[in-house]
Amino acid sequence: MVVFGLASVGILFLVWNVVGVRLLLLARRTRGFPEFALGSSLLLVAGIGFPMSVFNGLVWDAGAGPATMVVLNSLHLFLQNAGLMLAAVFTWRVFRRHDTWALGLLGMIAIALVVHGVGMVAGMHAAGDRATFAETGAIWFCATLVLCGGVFGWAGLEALLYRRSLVKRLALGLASPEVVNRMFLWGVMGVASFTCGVVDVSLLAAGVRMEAGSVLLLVTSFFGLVDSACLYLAFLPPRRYLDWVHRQAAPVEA
Amino acid sequence: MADSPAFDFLCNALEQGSALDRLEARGTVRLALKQSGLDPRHVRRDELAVVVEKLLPAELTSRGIDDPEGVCRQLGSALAGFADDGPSGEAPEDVFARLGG
Repeated sequence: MVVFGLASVGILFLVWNVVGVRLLLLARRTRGFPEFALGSSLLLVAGIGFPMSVFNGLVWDAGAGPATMVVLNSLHLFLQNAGLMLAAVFTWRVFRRHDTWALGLLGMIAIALVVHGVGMVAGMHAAGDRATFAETGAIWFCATLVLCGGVFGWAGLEALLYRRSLVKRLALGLASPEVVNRMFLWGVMGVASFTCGVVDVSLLAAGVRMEAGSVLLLVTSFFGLVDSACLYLAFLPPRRYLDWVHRQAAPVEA
Repeated sequence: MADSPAFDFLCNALEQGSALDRLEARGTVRLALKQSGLDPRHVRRDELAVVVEKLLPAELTSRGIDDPEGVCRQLGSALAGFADDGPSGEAPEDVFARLGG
């Protein structure tokens, strides 16, 4: 189970970072904001946010002082939450840029991320050490899961909704099978992230801990692999996979 | 948000070339676009040309229009002469096409 968990984390870290870098290189070429926002988001959340959370935990366990931990934790949460905000902005920009309500939702997400960041740093500072925070900071762990699940869940929902119209266009030869499939995979990734957040929060609320052999670790690892697989196939698809996508669409294309 | 210029053009052409009034013409084209997954606010000339060829004849038949194929041929010819702005590159499908590299 631990090996499964480590493999899932390792694969997620690798895929998110490779896709993130690829999208930023694309953004440099196209000057497109959506690719910049999405690439930056993936790198900030997985490439910087995750290693930094591990690093900060080790520094904390090694006895670093409160001032040092406030600085490190503030930096970590600022970067992680900036990544989440960029993911939300990507969704708004691509799918809802003409909808006023979506702008309001972005504002609420921004406020929630600020409150979460400040609250979590304050909570860790008040706890003093990691073991105590593991007991007292459950609400902030859950808030992290809710925010991650919510942001990527919104992204996935919008992609799956829009994909419905693309499937109709595909039947008329007005859409690319690759694009339809890419949007489907991004949608599944978002829904998987949301589902993982819901399940994890439920398990945490029921007193299940993230430790070796726990169902919480199993569930999180499973959804992590689903996320990674979807990202990989959406943005780094092997040639054979793309050929399969086109073959699936062939009767429609004909 | 207003409908696209190409949509307005096609609806006007359909109103003039058939027995449909303005509301009926726009409603008929909207129904065809709904079947095709296209949005009247963003639809382009080349997309409408496909809808006119493949979906509009059935819609016109259901409305009792005489010679729906002939009407659609005329609409197709009219659309061919319409100058569109072309794709903006910012539609979701355009963004996701770019994201594939």
